[in-house]
Amino acid sequence: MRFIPQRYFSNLFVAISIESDECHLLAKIVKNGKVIKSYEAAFDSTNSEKLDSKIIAYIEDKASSVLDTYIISYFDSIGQGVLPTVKSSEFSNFDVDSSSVQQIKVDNSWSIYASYAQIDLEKKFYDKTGLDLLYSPFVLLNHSVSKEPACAKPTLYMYNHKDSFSIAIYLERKVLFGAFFKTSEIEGADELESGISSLEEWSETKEEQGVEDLILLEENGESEEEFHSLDDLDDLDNLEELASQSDGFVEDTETALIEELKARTSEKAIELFGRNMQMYKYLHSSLEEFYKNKNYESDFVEDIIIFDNYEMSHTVLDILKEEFLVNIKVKKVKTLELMLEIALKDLGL
Amino acid sequence: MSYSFVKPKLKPVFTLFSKIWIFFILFCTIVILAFDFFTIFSTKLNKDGRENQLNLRDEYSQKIEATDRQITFIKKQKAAAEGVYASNAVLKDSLQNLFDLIPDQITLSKIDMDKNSLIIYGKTPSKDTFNFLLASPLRSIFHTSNTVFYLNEDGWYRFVSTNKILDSDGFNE
Repeated sequence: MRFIPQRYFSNLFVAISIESDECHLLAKIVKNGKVIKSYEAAFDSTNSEKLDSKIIAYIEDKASSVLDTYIISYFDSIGQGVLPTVKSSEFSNFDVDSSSVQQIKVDNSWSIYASYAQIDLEKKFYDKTGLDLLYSPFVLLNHSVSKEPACAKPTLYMYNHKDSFSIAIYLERKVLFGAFFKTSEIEGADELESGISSLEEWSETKEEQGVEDLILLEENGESEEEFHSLDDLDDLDNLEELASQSDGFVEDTETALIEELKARTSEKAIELFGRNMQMYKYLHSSLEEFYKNKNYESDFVEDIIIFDNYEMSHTVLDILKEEFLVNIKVKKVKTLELMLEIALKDLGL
Repeated sequence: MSYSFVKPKLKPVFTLFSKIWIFFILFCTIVILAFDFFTIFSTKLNKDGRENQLNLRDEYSQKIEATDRQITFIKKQKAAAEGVYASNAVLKDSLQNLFDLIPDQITLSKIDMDKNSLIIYGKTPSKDTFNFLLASPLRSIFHTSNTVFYLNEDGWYRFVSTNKILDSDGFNE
């Protein structure tokens, strides 16, 4: 390990995640690889253009006794995603303009990308403090996945946040498909301003169309059929059986839905449920994209592992289970902790 | 490999301000050290010069002593030379005087002059001529004066007069 003098001084690492006007902050003073002090705080952050002055004051107060401060931010802007290639020349196959995105190569087999414009916006937001590290949820997702045993079958991993979530379908350690979605209402939940990895902003309309079709199908109670036809289930008997099952399931789903609504009268619960339902829609459209688009090496996804930083509605989890015929595991993670962990590794401190 | 969209960069341990200070301190240290080395060097140079000068002084004083000795020796030589010269002059005078003493009738064949003695060989027509004309002045100069005569074939007398002074002083005079 090479000699880094900074290692032997106290450094303050501040991980910040800003979602729905709330700023969560985790600060740790680290010296020689050991955490000396740890601070956790939450602030209101209504200004979407600059970091709030009281947050800056808080950081400056904690930074008074350290050599330097490193600001680490959670990057949750749309215009990011993953691609199953490291060659920027192949980006155009996925409708991604390689000249306008920054690429991070992972394991030399797949890439995480984000648009320069969004990164610059993020940098501008941290104008006063300076932004030292910026982590995409895919990085955190991959970090969490790397701690799991490698999957022999395609597995969908989800990184769930309050305002957004990202998904990636892994086979072994390679990503086959990935997408990032915003679920906050501000971003226009109904308008589906999502940024599916393969579809940048300029191809949004196409995606919207796809998702709307999906919703329509769902309403007609035919979504299951449609979904399974993607899996090349040629056996007609099976299909019918499944269809009949799904009819029953939709009814079940509706009752469960009503029950959930009744049980949780609080606004938050409704919000959570709404968000999770939105998640379900996005997930559905993503899987459809994954199965249909020939650019991806698709195979049937049997497992979903959710790394959850916020909350998941159990009802929605049940719906997912039934709809996609998958096993779902939910694992709690702490984004800010993960960010600090990766930051320390990246900086070599 | 980094996973951040912003390139991770370690912040420098020293700020620009500290760097300026460190540079200033280093600069001052270098100047002071340079001055110190200069002083040490020049002191050493001066010390060496002083030693050289001291050696040179010793050398010169030795030379002076040698020269003094030489001068003394030369002075002595000079004195001796002057003495020889003076005695030579006196001897010359004495010889002159001696030859003035010799009368025309007497012929000298050999003179042996020593520090305290004078031996004269010669011929005289008669013993009396010798005794009257030469023996008396000789006797007045020397303490002892003996003369031996022997007859020559031609009727003249050969003589050997031995004259002595008891101490050397005054012989030359």
